[in-house]
This record gives sequence, C-alpha cells and structure tokens, in this order.
Amino acid sequence: MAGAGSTSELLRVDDLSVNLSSGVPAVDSVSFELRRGECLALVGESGCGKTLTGLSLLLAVPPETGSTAAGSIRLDGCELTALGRKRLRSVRGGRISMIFQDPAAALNPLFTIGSQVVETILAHLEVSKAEARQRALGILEDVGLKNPQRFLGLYSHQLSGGQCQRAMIAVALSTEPELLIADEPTTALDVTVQRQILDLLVRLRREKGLALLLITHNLALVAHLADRVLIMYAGQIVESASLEELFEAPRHPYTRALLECIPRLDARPGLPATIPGNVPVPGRWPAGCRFRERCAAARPGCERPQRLQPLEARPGTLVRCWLAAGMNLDNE
Amino acid sequence: MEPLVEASDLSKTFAAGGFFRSRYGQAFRAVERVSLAVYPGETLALVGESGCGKSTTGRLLLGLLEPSGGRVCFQGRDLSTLGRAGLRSLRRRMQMIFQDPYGSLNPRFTVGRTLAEPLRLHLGLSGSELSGRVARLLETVGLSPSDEGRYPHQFSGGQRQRVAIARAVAVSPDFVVADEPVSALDLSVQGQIIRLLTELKKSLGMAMLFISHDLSVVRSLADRVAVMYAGRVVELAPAGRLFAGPEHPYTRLLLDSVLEAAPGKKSEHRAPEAPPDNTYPATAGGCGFHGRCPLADPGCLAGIPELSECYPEHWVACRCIHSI
Repeated sequence: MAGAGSTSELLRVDDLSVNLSSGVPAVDSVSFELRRGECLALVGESGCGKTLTGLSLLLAVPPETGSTAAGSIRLDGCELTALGRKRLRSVRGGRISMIFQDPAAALNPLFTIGSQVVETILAHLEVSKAEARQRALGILEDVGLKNPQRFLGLYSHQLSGGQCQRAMIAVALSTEPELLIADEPTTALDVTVQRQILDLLVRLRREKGLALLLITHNLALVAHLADRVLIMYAGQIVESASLEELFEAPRHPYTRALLECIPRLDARPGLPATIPGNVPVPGRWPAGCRFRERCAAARPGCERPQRLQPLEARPGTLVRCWLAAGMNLDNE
Repeated sequence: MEPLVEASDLSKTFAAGGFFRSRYGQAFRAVERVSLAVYPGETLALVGESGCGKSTTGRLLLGLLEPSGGRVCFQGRDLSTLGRAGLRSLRRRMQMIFQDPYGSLNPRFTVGRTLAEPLRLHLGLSGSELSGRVARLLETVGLSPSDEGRYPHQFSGGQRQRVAIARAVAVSPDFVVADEPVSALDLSVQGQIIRLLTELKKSLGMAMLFISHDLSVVRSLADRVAVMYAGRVVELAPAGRLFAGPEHPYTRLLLDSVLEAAPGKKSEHRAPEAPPDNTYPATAGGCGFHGRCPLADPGCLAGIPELSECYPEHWVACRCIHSI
C-alpha cells in the first residue's frame, strides 16, 4: 500500500456543520482531509460533536437527532451530499463502513453472525451466495475469530465483548471498504481485550491499506494507531497536528489537559489530573474561545473569536488559540 | 486492627437454567473460595476482566447475594445469621455505587427525591432538616443545591455519577462498594470522580471496595489491590508493592495491557491472549490461568494453587512463585 496510492486524498470535508433537531448547531464548520491508508484520529470529550461528525460523513445522522446544515463531503472527488439515496447506499457500508462503541447493540440479536456478514456482502458486492459465504469465512478469520465455521452460526449474545467487537469489525470489513470510521472501538472493553482490538486494527491497516477515522476520547489509544490527530472541542476543531508533534509539543491548552488526564502506571500515586467543569452543551457555547471557562491559561482577550490558524514555527499544525498560535512563541 | 468486612472461603455458584443453560452447562461457579478482608477506612481495589467474579464478590460482601459457601462478616457479625430485619439495619452502613448511573437512578425521581429517600428511610429526617441535608449533599459531591429539581437525564454522565455517589454517602456508610464507577466516563471526568471518591473517603472515614478492570485507574486511589481470575483471588498486595513488583503472571498481563501514552511504539507490543471466551472453562483441578500463562508447564494442572505469602503482606496463588 506504500507509494503513490497511499498519499492521495481519499476524503475531503469542508465546512461541515451539523445542527441538532432543535436547530442548535452541534458541529461547527469542521474541515479536514484523509489520505488513503491514513489513520486520522478525532479526539475530544463526550459532547464535543465527534460522533455526530462521524455519522454525518455517512449522511447517517438520525433525523430525530439532527441534520447536516452545511458543508461538503467528497469521497474521491465525488460529492456525497449530492448523491441520491441509491448511490448513497452503495457508499454507506460499501466504500465507507463504521463500527461503534457497543457492538452488542450494533449487531442484530435475531440473526447469526454469519447471516449478517453474508447479507452485507450480498447487498454490496455482486457475488453468489456460496461465494459470499466463503468470503465471510475468510473475513471472520481475518478479524481473529478462530474456527470461523463455528462463529457463522452463533448469535451475538453467545459471544464475549471482544468477540462481538471482532464480529462487528467483520461485518464492517466484509465489503472491502476504503475507509473505516471507528467510534470508540475499545472503550467498552476489558483492558486486555482493548489491546487485542488495537492490534487487530493496526494489522488490518497494514494488510488491507485501510484508511481509518478513529473517534475517541482516549489519547493513549491514539498514540498507538493514528498518523494525524484532530482535537475537537464544543463542535470545533481546536488543534490539528501530526501524532508526533501533538505528543511532543501539544499547543492548545485543551490538548494539554487531555494528555494529562491519561492515567499512567509509572506516575507516583496521587490524585489524577482532571479538566474542571464540563463540555458546554450545544447552544450554551461561550463567545470567543469555547474552552476558556475551563482553561488554566485563560486571560482577557480569550473572549474574542478564535480562528483555527497555522503555526508559523510548525507548518502543518493548526491551532485555535491566540495565545498558542503566535504571540508567545518568542518566550518559549 | 479488626477488619470491617471479612469474607472467608466465600463461594457463589449460579445454578444453570433458562437462558444460561446452554452457555454454562450445569452450574457456573462465579466465585470460588475467596477470602478477603476490608479494614476500616481503607480502599481495597478488586481488579480483573469481565466474568472473573469481581462484581459477584462485591455483591456478596454487601449481603445482596447469598453465598453458596463460606461467609461474610460485618464487624464480626455473620450476615447470614442476621435475618431480614438485621440486614436492613446494616444497609445504612453498607452502600453501593454502580457503573451505569443512568441505570441505577430512577429516571422519574428528581435528584432531590432520590437523595431524600435514604435519609428519610434510614435516618428518619423530614421537613427543613431533610431539605437542608439534601442541599449539603449536593454541594459535597460538587453539584449545586439548585440541581435538586432536575431529573437524571438532564445531567451529563459524570454529573449523574456524582448523584449516585451522593446517594451512596447520604447515610454516612462505613463501607461502600464501587463497581466500575468510572469505566463509562471520559478520562477527564474519571479523574474528577476518583478525586471526589478520595476526598469523601478521607472526610467520612469510610472503607471502599473499588472494582475495576483497569489497573491504571486503581493506581491513584487503592491502598491494597486484589487481582481476581476465574473466580479466585490470584494476587493480593499493598498497592505500591503490586505496581512495583507484580508477581502473578496474570497481574503482569493486566499491567502490560495498559496503553502507554506515548507514540512511537506502534504495533510492536505483544498482544496478551484473551480467555477463549468469557465463560472460563471449568478448571479441571488445575490453575485456571494455565491456558494463557507464559510460565505454565504440565505441573500447573496438578492442583489449584493456594494463596501464599511471597513477601510480607504480598500474597500470590501461583506455584511458579515461591513463598517466603
């Protein structure tokens, strides 16, 4: 997957905004691009709008939750927001797949794992039933379910949490998507199983050249999987950087705070770091910097509107904080 | 010091029937011969994967489940001899906090009513005394007295967990079982809840059994740590000792599973083996962990290892680790 193909643009999102059904904006002018084979992480706390962003890429925001208000989503240059329902359905679950935090809820409890994988394949690929079944066996084995023959006939309640997650990944991968959106894929699992699912995602990326949009609040997971990171807060991207730069020199105070919250084994025991307060709910976003009420570095001036601006000292890094973006660079 | 709560040789077997019959065959042994003591004011962390019996142990310690074998004593009194009325009077002194506060708070009760209930039932408070106490409780857990009239769905996950904690500490219990209280929360909020629990523990002097699957979460608040696997305690040590020098191969696996918060080690780590599925095959007379254990040899199938003291206060159940 290396070479020219791995660097070309796969997905481009411009000024995407999503409103809740009440009309209140929840995702506010989000723009990013994702290259083939790349893993981009979208990171923030609950209520930042990351899941809505993920769902809106599939144009799958439930109408009772909200709707895409503006923006463009282009897959390989093809504008998804302009597609008719039929064409859209071939993209959704075909070229772009999504996996969720709670696999037990995402799998249908009334159908066997096998039938769910086979059905997905038949819906998207032009193959015979026998071929689809053969393919399903291969995919189940790919995602680490040993003895796939047996899993074909099992129901989701007969699987452990980790096996469920693998089965859901199998359903998602059965149509050989180019992009997988993974929404908190390990959060509900045991630490040991988290590790295995992480390894599985790393392997699938390597073997299949899969592009991944990883949605999570846990930067430790990001560190092991992502190439680039977008930090999201209150509906906006507040920092965009490569993985190495983000961990080496996080710029936005929110990014720094998130990094400090990761529990560490090597740390001396003491009270864990936190971010005081809560993410403001949509509709109650403060003017200017939306993080300023929780920010340790906040000062007069933060109430002015903040632009996502490039760092002169570090091309490619964007930050939405006037303090981090320039004026203090000399003092550092 | 006398233990506040003491479990000796505690076992719990769930009879197979109905839904679980096909899954577990005849009977599922959730907890097997667990002996644990919780001392006044201490935090004992109980760590292990899903299905290892840690939640069942927590419920047994509170007398919410009846043990199939062994006994639980609260301040020297055997719970099984207390009868219903006796148990009810102990309830005030033993409380529980659950993983999912959304599921454990009544959605049709305002937060004020949820908190007033235990105060009325157990302490007989009423009128202005009751409302004053509710207001103070809300402040204690970092909420505002004006939140009293709101319903659980109007709070964020972290705030709901604060309400659940307020309800648990409302009657000043001596012992609280917190079952994965932060697992469903964002890391930033996990820290807040752990801080709150630590403060409350100090100010109220209560003892806590903190159940978690993640050793890194336990790090900042546990005094002692017990690691459970397949229904048994396989390692028990003071927290500092356990994190500095874990002995049981399973404890090491759990520690290895914690993700380091640093890039650069992508995909190089070793994936620890998971249980074949979370039913844990019946341990036919051997160590339950031998199927996943890097140290295992045929000798491990010969008998179930008992806990033995490998350092003072540090207990391990593994025949490959030598006792003092």
